[in-house]
Amino acid sequence: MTIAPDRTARSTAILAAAFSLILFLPAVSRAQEAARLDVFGGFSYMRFDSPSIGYANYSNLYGWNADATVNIKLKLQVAVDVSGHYGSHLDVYNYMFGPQYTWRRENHRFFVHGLFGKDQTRANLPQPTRPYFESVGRSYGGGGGFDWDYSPRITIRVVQADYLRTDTFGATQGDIRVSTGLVFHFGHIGHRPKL
Amino acid sequence: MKRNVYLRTTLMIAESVATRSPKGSMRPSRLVSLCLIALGLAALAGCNAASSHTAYLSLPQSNAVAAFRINNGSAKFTSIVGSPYFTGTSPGPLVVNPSKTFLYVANRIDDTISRFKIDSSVGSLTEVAPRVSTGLTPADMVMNSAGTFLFVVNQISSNISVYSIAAASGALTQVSGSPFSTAPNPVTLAVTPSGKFLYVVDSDLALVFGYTISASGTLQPIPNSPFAVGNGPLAIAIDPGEQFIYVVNSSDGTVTIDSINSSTGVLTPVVGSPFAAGTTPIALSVSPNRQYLYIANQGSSDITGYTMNLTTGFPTLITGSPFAGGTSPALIVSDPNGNFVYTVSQSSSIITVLSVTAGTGVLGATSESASTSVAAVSMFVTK
Repeated sequence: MTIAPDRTARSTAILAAAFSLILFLPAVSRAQEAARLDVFGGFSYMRFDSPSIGYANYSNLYGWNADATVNIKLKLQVAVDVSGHYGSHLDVYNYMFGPQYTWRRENHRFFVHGLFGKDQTRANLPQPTRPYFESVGRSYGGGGGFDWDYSPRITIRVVQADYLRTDTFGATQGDIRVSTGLVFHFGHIGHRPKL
Repeated sequence: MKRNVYLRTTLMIAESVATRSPKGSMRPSRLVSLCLIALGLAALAGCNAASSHTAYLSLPQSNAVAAFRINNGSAKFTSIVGSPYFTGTSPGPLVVNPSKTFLYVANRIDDTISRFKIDSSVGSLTEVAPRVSTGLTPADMVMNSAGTFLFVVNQISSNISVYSIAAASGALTQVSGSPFSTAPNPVTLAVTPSGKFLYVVDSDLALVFGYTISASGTLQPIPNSPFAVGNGPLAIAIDPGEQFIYVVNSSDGTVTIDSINSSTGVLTPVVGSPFAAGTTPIALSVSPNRQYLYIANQGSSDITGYTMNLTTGFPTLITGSPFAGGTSPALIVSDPNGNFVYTVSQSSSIITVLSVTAGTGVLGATSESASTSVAAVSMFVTK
């Protein structure tokens, strides 16, 4: 059985519309509380700028992304972000931290952050004398995401997207990272609204 | 098509929601969402292949090969990760097989050939042992266009080693009768695109020796071979249409142009040959469209350019020739698309990129260049 191309396109468009509607649902009220610590872990995709180090094409890498966010205030956080992405010829690790700003709604929130730290890139190109080439350099960038509360302790990170600049192997890369996963909440700040 | 529908639909919805904001302006949260969607879509959309080719240069002072990726449009050189890759002692001539899976480098002091596997997506090199023995001091090396035979001219042992190439592994095996004797001090060689004829340049004798290549790779002298050229011949090139052969005579400052008899391989000087070049011409390159011949003049630090008459073989100087071509250029190679010419200076270790004006062949300076840190003695550019 084959699916007509226009039908597939329509399905994709409906999915996109549903996704967009979720993102733009109007906020009902503002939450007055937050967890002290948010811990995120999930799946991540990276488009690594490998032509900058001589590869013929961009590299599509898959891996993980984790971060821990300390809520200093309801809207202001400090995030520590680490990620690892892997492909047939490349392993890329990012270790970063930076400020984060969050808009809170009753059951969802948006955030933006700036990140600074280090990048560790390993080109798996075995040589007789060494199994790979590795470079460590500066990493910085920014992005944001959308979280949707599943329960008081668990939130679904629908999407987190970042643009990262890295300096490895004597060149500068512009990478795109997109992640999704779960956020777990620990502790408490702020005050609960009266019911 | 599907991606376009997805993009259009998502952006229409986003625009619609933004427009319906009760206060008439977009809320910060929605602005963030729009940015996120755009970023996500950019990630989905941006996976296109970069149009490029690769270049490899042998660096005898480092016992290594440098590898670069070159953008087809801009001719920007990007060093391939891991470059330079180690070879045997004093690597000289190098060649990549037509399927771009293996690179062969002749090590001039070891008297061996290193075989490197080329990673197809990266262009990086990994040597495959063992190295294969050649004659004494392999001075130059060429492969036939089918990628079935490798020919190596050995300067000190005055002979030609011929190897058959295994299609899958790239392994080399000397053909029966190899090495084949030639005159003393051969310096370079060239094979015709059809793979029928091989020409070996003897610098001391100012002669070109011609050979017919059999189906098994054995060499037989062409009738009336050798053929006279100017004094101090150092480089040879063959017209991609297999009609003409070009030899630069470094001592005379000239280029010899001979026509090739397609049946016998016999060479006949075209009317007026040899033709003037600059001071100490040392290398030459024919454009892929056969129309232009460029000669690197090491002594005068410039490039002589000729437009070729493909019927008579008679060259006409390109307007503006000679062109600036870097400091004492020792190598010159045409870009496979015919848009650029690369020259290599051994004194400065700089690769200079020159643009080729379509229709006229005029060479112009560009802002692109690259460095090899130490002097390169051979360059191979893939198609």
